[in-house]
Amino acid sequence: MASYSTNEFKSGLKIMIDNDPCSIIENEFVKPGKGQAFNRVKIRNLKTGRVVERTFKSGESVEAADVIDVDLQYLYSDGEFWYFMNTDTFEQIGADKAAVADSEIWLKEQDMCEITLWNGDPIAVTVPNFVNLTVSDTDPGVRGDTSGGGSKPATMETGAVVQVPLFINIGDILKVDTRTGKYVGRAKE
Amino acid sequence: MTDNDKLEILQGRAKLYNVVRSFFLSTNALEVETPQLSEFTTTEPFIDSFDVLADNKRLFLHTSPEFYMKRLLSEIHQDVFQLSKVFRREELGNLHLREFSLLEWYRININEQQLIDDVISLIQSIWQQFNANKSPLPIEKISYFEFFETSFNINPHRVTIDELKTCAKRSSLLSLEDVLGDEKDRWFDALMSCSLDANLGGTKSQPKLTFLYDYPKSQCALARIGRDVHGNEVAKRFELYIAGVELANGFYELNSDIEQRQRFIQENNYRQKIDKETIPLDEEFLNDLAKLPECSGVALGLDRLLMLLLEKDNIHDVVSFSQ
Repeated sequence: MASYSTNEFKSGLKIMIDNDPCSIIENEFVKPGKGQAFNRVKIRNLKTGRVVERTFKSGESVEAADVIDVDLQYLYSDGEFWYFMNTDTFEQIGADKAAVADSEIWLKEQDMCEITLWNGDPIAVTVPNFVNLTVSDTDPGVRGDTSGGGSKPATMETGAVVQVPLFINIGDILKVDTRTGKYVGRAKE
Repeated sequence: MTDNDKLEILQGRAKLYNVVRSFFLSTNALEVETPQLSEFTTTEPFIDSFDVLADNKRLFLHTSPEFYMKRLLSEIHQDVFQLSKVFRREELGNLHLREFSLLEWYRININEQQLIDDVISLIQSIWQQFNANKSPLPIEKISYFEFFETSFNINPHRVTIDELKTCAKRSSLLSLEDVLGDEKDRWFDALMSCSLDANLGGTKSQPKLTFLYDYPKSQCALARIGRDVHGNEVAKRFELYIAGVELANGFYELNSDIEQRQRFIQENNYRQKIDKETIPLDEEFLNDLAKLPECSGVALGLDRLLMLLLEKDNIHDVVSFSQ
């Protein structure tokens, strides 16, 4: 079983905490007075996304988490699993709802996504920062209005609802920022 | 780091040292130099020394100039100060260097509370030199007892090990249960380390000088034991915090060689318990300690002080070459 000593701690390192894989966000070495030294770390639970603080005695060893990120192409969903493919080996892998989580509404077939694998199983899906999506439903566009004075909701092909300018029509392809859920602009084909 | 940044850091450090030297010149302390290499070193369980081989003889790089400065004091009976590089085999961090600059000084015939006032005078005069437009730093003095009482609702002089562990659990230090054992001081250390940035010495934008004093007897190191206002036996020791950073550590100096010897032996015993090498006792130091005049002494981290003055968050940003 691989493990890391606290003096190897740095941001990005993947370790096991309470049986869950976690990623170190921040590591601070503290030594009060002339006493025992500690490492105070901020860690993100890779399964839940929650950030917690923990304190370790310096020199202590912590189990390493077998976690890797891979770029895979999204294929389709059968409602229970979302399937991704390695474009080199054509190997397919299914991620469950817990792993896909909030990314679900941005998943468009054939887009490349970053999948976090723990012991080979998908635990998180990260969609690209920007995706191009087709508008599947919105109120009719207001001709000539390109000033961006107002906005209206538009439902995208993946199910996401995005606030868009009034001139947008069904069938338009839009560039959307998946981190904020905000409309960026109209995309070229 | 750009060339301008580097120049600013070098000039800042030079200015700091000049202000320090003029402060001690005007308060009649003699600048001294003592050896950095010695056959002896500290027995403190959590301070690890670097060693070198010289002609088959093992020498340690000093972790503080304390032993030699006290030996000088026992001969010359006058206030002394020293600016020196010290070396500690530690993990590196935002606040830790393996080789760092320490200002250490001793004043004859004063106790630790009077020395706190001396520390305040020094820091305020430095602060004024670097921040002509700002008002002096606010000052806060709080006993270790009060600090633990207000922060954790425990009395550090009476608390049991189980109460300490329960308290630590509330502060989300659960993972330490298996590794810290039943030594109360380790749990004090843990609680202290997780409350640092929150409570002590104000914030970076509103720093103040917070002095913690009257430490638990078990953390006396080279300080005298006395009584606090509640009648508890305490170590006559203080630490200074600014903006969550520990800056200085001072003692009303113990001058009993018998008691000091016992403490060294205890520390060596503890070292054995945690699988660390024991350190040979410095007999010459112990011998001279019996002749040490009434005095108090303090060590102050100059790199950390420079961080505050130059508004840097990382100690590696205030040295000429980062390790």
